[in-house]
Amino acid sequence: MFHPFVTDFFSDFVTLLVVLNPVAKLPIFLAQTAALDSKTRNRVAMWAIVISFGVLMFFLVAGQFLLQGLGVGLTAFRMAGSLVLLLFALSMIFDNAHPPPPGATDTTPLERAIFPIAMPALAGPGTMLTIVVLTDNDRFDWVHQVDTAMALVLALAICFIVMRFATLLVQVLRRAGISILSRVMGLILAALAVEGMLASTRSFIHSL
Amino acid sequence: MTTNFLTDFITLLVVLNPLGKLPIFLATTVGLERAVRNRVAFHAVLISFGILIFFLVAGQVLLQALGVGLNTFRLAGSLVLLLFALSMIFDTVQTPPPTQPDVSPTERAVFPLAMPSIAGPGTMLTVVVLTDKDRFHWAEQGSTALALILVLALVYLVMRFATPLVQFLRRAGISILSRVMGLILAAVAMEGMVVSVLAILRQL
Repeated sequence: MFHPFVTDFFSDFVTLLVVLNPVAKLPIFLAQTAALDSKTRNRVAMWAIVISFGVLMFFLVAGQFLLQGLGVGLTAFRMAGSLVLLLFALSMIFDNAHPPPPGATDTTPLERAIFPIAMPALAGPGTMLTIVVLTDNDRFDWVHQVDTAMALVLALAICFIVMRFATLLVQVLRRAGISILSRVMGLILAALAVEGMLASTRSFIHSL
Repeated sequence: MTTNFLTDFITLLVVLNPLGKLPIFLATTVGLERAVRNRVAFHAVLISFGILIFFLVAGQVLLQALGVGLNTFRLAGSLVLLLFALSMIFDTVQTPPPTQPDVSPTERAVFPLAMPSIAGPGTMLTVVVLTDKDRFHWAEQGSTALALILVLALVYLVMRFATPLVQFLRRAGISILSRVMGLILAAVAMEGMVVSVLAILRQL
């Protein structure tokens, strides 16, 4: 019914949106920007999206060569990525979602956008892996890879819109609400990370 | 219906373990006056109820949509519980540091009382399993919700009665109680990890 270009685009878009999971990234964004005014907050959101896009495009184009060049299999990459994700999820559960201590007021908006919003929240190991898998050079021609890149742009645009709306949510949720959301999401993220570790262990064992 | 309710009630009571929350509550509210302490207790129970009802209604759908199996969720949850238990054993009893006097009662109620202590991973998992949408219709799920309310009311009562215990136990007593309970919680967490790892291995 639809041209394969359209259906591929849609399936890539949904996959990327699920992996990027903008709503789950809200608590991280809110916690990082709790003490900033709304203009700076929007700038942090913009920077985070631009940086994520750059990192992910790099992996889209060069990720597979890089991993092959280093002799790292996709399974090993996924396992390492899931471990990073698990540790990040644990910090979401256990850390106090307080604004940065007064000693660290000199972190610029750009630095906050890089860590932890762009890396590892948005352009995290899970997203990088998904990008590399979706554009596997042995299976997809360049038209399809451009298709995936367009889906990535749209998914990141939605992440940006969610972060823009976050400013409104700050007033509604308060710090306690953000804290609850962050911890519940952290638990779900931890489960996703363990799932990734199990899946990669399984394919390790099968490939023996 | 009645036996179902009783089974759910006892299961939730064992998992929630109201007495086990005492040391955490005492440690969190050290140095607070009585009225504030009661407010922390009330907020913690209310927030826990909200989180657990959310998992009762939407937990299964959420986990299925994300492709996370119940065993995986249990493994991850047990890991979180183990880390929390270790912090109970090794950390010094936390008094709010002087740089952060603005920690509101609600925030203390959220962490570490509601999450991960009362509405912890174990409780969430239990609620999801007890209301498995493939096995129970909505009336049974309602009875599970009622059992949950009753158990949470018990948790609240224990925390209310904790207030006189503060004078009796002092900081040293709370510290000892907290560490012993931490060790028991660590054992419960290990049990959960072993059970879920075994279940996952069997599926291989």
